[in-house]
Amino acid sequence: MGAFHGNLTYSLYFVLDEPEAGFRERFIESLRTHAFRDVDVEAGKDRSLGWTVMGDPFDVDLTWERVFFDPYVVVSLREDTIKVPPNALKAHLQKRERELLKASGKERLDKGERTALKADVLDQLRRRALPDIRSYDVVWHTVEGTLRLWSTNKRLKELFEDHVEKTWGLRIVPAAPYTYVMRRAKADEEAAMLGLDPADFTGASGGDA
Amino acid sequence: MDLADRLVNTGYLGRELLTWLWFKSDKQQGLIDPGDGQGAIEVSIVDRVTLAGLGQGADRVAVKAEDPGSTAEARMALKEGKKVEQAMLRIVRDQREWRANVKGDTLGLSGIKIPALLTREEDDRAQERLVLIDLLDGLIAGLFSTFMVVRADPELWTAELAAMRAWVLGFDEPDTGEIPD
Repeated sequence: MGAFHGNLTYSLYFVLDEPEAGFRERFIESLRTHAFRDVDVEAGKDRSLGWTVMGDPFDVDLTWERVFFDPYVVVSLREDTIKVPPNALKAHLQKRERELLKASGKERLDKGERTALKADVLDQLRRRALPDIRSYDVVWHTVEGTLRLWSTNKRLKELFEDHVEKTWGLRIVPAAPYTYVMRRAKADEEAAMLGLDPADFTGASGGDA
Repeated sequence: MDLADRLVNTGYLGRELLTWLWFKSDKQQGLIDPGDGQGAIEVSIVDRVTLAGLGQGADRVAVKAEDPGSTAEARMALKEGKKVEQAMLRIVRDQREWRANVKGDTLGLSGIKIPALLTREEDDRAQERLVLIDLLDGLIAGLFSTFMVVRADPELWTAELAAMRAWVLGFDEPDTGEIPD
């Protein structure tokens, strides 16, 4: 799903903070700091998340000219995940265990040895596996203060919200009845909204609400 | 109350907005001013509507029809106290049409269709697409704002609620197929 082509289903957010003066320079620096990097398998990681140029998950040369589409900032959020199929892990684990037992002359491995073996086999398989690559367009209207993520997946939305805060220190809230009122920044309207009760359109309750 | 609680506790207002839009569509040809200074837009529920009671596990009624709001099934659900949980809205302004499935609890949009693009160059078309998406979000925000002006005003809401109740009560009874004596 993409901002410029294809299916139009996205999650809408409101940006609560106004960008400060000098934001543009810090913005690009921060974007590059939190750009996508390959999964760090050496460090035992199995996933990675970061920004790329919109439409190209392999391009992290993020410059103002390439992300600013006046008045929009357009980037993609790429998430790589390395998954080792359970059956493959089991088969390789059994093979290594047989080899170990034969080499050591032991009849069975103890719990600690099995745990260490599994970690080693998993690590080896992760190094050989191709990551699953997913990329989601992100569009920020810098004047209206709206931010769109081209996904409605709950897990990804949480990762996205966290990554936006890490990258730019911006507070964002999901669009919802309450936040539509909240972004108008009128305390009396928020209070009035919170003081309402669900209406009865049938009249069965006999009240005026 | 933290933000997460406020989002959950006020989600019902989105369902009431959708139900109110259905009412307006029936009573005034769906012409509603979204308050953006550009005049009224035409809003209607098309293709599908889902009504539900409040709370997890509540009964749900999903209706698919060209004009789902005119079906006996949808009207009976409303008479039973259910509200519109989600609906496919058709919005027209200046002969340009948008469609979007709107979820009441979050006002989240999906399955969006925007008007045909008028520009030719790829960059211009990309920008036009984003502008049309902005316009749709702005119209939804405007409709909700217009609704909340009425909803949050005790006098205005008393009158509007009375009109909505009369509308609900005025639905024809469904045809049971029984032959009268």
